[in-house]
Amino acid sequence: MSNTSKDLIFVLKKEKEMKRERLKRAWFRFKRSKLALTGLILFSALLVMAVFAESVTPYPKHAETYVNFKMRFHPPDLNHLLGTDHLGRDILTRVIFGFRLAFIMIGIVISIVLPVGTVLGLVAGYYKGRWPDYAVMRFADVFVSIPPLILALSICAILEPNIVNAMIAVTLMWWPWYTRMVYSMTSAIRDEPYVWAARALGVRDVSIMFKEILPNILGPVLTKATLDAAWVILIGSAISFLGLGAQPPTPDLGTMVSEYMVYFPRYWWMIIGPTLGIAVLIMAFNLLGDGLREVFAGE
Amino acid sequence: MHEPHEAMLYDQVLLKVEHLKRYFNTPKGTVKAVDDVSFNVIKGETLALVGESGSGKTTTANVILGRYTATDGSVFYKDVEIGSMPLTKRPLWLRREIQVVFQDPATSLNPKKTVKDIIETAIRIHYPKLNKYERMERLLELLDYIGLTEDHLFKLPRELGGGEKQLVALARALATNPTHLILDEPTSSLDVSAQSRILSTLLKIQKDRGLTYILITHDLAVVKNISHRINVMYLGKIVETAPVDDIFGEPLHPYTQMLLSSIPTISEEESKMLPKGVESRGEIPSAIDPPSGCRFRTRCPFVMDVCSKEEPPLKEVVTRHFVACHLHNKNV
Repeated sequence: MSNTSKDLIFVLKKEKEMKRERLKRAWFRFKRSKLALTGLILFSALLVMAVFAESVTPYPKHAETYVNFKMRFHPPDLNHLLGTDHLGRDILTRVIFGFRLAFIMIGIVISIVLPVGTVLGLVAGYYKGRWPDYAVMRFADVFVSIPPLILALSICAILEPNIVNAMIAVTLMWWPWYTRMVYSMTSAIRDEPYVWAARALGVRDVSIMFKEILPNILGPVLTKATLDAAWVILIGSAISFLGLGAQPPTPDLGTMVSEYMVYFPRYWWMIIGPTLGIAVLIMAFNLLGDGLREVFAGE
Repeated sequence: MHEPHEAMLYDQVLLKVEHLKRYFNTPKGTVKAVDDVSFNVIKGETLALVGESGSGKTTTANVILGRYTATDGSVFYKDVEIGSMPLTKRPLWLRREIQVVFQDPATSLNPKKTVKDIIETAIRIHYPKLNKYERMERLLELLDYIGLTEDHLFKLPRELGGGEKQLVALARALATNPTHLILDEPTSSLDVSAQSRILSTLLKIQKDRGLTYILITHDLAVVKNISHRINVMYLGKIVETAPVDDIFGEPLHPYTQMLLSSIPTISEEESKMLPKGVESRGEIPSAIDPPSGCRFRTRCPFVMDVCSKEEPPLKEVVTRHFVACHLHNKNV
């Protein structure tokens, strides 16, 4: 008896090994693509910068209310790599703080949209043709029928224009797209023989949804989330750019673009910083998403 | 040919299908996939449902499994009416006793779950009192019994061969300790060597555990090897029911004769063993608007006037050999 349980412990240990082996293989598939690797490095670098913004930026005080008229409109040089703005603040510093804000925004929006959108889509897709389907999907259709930017703008206009409400707006307009995607995948998978086999075994509906179906759609969902993160940044920036999102002096990339735009082209460097920031951030997410797609497609 | 084992008694009916009908409404009309089918399944036997695609054999099995509910008629399992009970409404003991093995193991195993997870789920549901180690022990026993090893345990379905996958599907079904197994074309997506492995495993399981099989197939070679009795189906009806030797030795229905004569043969000896005279012709008509009277009459070489007017009843012509054909219905 003790002999067999020793064997069992050995077998269970082997399970962990196999899991590690699979992760290794996934990593191999990811790093095969130079672009995906670039995306990951870029993403990590931006994230580290955003997290430790106070330490990595030359003038952390310039992120918020700070005025130094002596240094205003200073073109790029070694002290101010991206120049200074109309209040004498270091633009590089503000862009890096802008990254932090963008990451916070993506983090919050994704951590709401991803679980909510996925669960709703799973339930609606699994009970396709029954009331949860109609309830969820018609509700989603209401949000989908309004152009995203218009919806976000009207929400921000109704509520007070600030960064929190901008996030609420993006969340509200974004979840139906997840729900729809998960819905269509779930309603296809729910009639797969392996799902029928699970039903024949007596697996409960909730377990079928989360243990049989979810693992099979997680790959595309995570890939979409990563690719969409870039889009969240764009929409968030657009809202801020139009003055309905983050308000100055908050170092938001979109707000900065709209603030600095008026000084173009005379003080051309001002606009370069935040636009470049947005571009780099979006590129990082897109490359990362492509890499993830590669990983999941290889399975 | 596979001898019925001792436990098999003809009066021990495990499953009784009575006047089962299953219609599907489509934009083109009502498809009568199964139209008034009755048969018994005897404890410990292998009953084969044979027919072309569209004959209703899979639909019949799906009603027994609970994937569809019956439009009309009933299915009794141990005196419980299960034909109107969808799978999700069935009590756990019923789900434990009736298990299924699907045709294509590539789609019947969750691609994201390891062999261990797949089989363990079955054990966990039906034996919730076992702890992790006891479950594992049971799983290893089962794996060994079915002819797989520990090395297969943490593999994903895509890392296994076709035959191995089907063995895993079989192990999952066996994990609940069922009494009744529905085998939906269990070998038709496998290569020949894997087929024989599955078939011999199925025979071993039946011998050891006295399981009852319903075997759905269009492969008559498989039928000949492992079944005791055969139901030949055509367009939603049973046209002939008989023990396997009678079907192969003395097929009475022209459709059965046609099916048998269309078995591909290699040697001349083999082809001599097959019945002559009935060449396969035509295709199975639509189940939306089946021919009047006998449904096979449009393809039958012996068609008579009565065939289009009256539907032949299923009658016992020889002991335990039933046939629904006017050729054998003269004395009534």
